[in-house]
Amino acid sequence: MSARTRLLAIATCAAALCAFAGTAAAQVEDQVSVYTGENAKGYLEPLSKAIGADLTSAVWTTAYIPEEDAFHLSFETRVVGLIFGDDMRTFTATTEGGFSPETTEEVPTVIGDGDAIIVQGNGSSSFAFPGGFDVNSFTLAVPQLRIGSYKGTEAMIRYFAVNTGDVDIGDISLYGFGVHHSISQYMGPDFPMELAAGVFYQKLQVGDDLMDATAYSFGVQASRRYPAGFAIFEPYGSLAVDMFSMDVAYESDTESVDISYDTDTSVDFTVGLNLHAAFFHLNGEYSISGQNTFAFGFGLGF
Amino acid sequence: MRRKLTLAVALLLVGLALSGSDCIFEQKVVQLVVTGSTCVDFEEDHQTDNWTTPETYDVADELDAILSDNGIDKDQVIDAEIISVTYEVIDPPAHDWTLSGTITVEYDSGPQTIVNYTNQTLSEIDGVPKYADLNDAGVDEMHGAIDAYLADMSPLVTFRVENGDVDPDPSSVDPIQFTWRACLKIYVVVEDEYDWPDVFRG
Repeated sequence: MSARTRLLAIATCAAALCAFAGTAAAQVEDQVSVYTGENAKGYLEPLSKAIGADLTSAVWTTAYIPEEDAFHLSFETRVVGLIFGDDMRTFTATTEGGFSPETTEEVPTVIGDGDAIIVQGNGSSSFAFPGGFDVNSFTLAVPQLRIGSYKGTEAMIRYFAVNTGDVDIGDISLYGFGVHHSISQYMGPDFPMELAAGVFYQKLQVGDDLMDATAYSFGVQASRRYPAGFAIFEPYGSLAVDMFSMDVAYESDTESVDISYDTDTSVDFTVGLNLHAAFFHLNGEYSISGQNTFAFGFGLGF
Repeated sequence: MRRKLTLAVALLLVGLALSGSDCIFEQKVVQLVVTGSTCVDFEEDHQTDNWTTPETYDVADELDAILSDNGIDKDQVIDAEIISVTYEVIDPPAHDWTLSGTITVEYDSGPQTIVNYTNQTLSEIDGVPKYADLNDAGVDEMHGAIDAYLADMSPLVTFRVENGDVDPDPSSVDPIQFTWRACLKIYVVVEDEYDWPDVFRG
C-alpha cells in the first residue's frame, strides 16, 4: 500500500471510527456485563489507559502562533494510536456468582485474546471468564478547529457527536476547549525558535453515564520553521503534564456496577514534524509517556 | 479566501469517501460470555416430615429466555454450564422450621441429587438466596439436558424436593406451608465475529 493510499485509508478509518464507536461500545458493554467490582475494573483498564493517552496526545503540534492580530482558521483532524504492551493483555480475575471454590486466574482483558477461560469447580460446576477483543492498538480520531490569533494567543475546539442508534448505549460525544499562548514573542526577534504554552480540557461521554472521561493537558512547546520551496518543514517538541480520569457505569447480569478510575497523572514528552504546503498541513509525532503513542494529523487552514 | 477553503474542505471529504474501500478493518473472533438465572418454585403444604414435591422444567424455554435477554442466537452458543445453585424462601411459613433433605434432578438417567440441605432453618433463607454445595451427579444430569437443548432437542427436566426431616414435626393442626425457590446460575459462551478498525496495522 502506498503512503498516499495508506494516508487516505487512515483518514477514512478516522471518519469511520465515529460510526463504529457505537457498535464497539455495545460489544464492550455486553462483554463486561458478566463482571462486577474489581474484575470489571481490571478488564476495562487497558481501555481507560488508551483513551487517556489518545486524548492527551497531539494536542498542540506547533509553538508557532502569529503575533499580529489577524484572523487564522484551521480545520484539522488528529488520528492518535497506541500500541498495547503484552502486560496489558491479561489481568488477575476472581470467579463470581457464587462459584465454589473461589478461584483466581490470569484471564484476558478487554484487549486480550479472544478465547474465554473456563475453570472447573466443585460438583461439576464451572465458571467462564470472557475473552477480550484481541486488538493490538487503539486509535482515536478527533476533529478540531483552531482559531487565532490575538496578541499571540489562539484557541482550539474539539467536537464530535454520534448517535449510536442503540438505546442501551445512547450518544457518544467528545468536546474539548483550550488556549495556546506564544511565549517567544516576549523573547525578542533573535530568539532561535518559537515557544508556546497551552492548556486543554476534554470530555468524552458515552450514553448518559456508561462512560464519562475527563482529560487535562498542560504543556510547553518548541518549534522552528524551515521554508523549503513551496513547503515549510517544522520540527517540534513538547513537554506536558496530562491528567485523565474515567468513570464507567453499567448493569451487570445481577446488579448496577459503578467503576471509578483514579486520576492518572503523567508527563508526556513529544517529538514531531509538521509539513505545511499552502493551505494543507500534515504532521506526525511520537509521544513518550505512561503509554507511548504515535499520531498523524492533517488539516486545512490559512 | 473563504471560497478556496470551502472548496478544499469539499475535496478532502470527497477524498475520504472515495477511499472507503481501503479502510483497514481487521476481522476478529471473540468468545463472549453471558450469564443468566433460571428458577423453579416449590409450593409446600404438608402434615408429615417426608414429602416429595416435583416440578417440571422446560430447559428449552428457560435457556431461550436467557439467550433472548442477551440478544444471542442459539446457533452462536458453543458452551453452557452451571456456575452455582441457590435456594431461598419466597413465601415464608407462619413460624420457623428446620428441614433436611435433597433436591434431585431427572432428565434421562433417573433422579440424581443436585443439592443436599441439612438442618436448614427457613428463617435463614427467607428472602436471602443461599449458595448450595453441588453434587456431581445432579449437575451432570442437568448438563446432559443443556447439551440436548444445544443439539436442538426439547428436554424436559423434573426437579424434586425430597424432604426427609422437619423440626418441629408438622401435623394437621400445624401443617408446614411455604414456597421456596431454587435457582440455577448458568453461563453461556458465544462465539461472535466483528470488525475492528486497526488503522495502524502493519
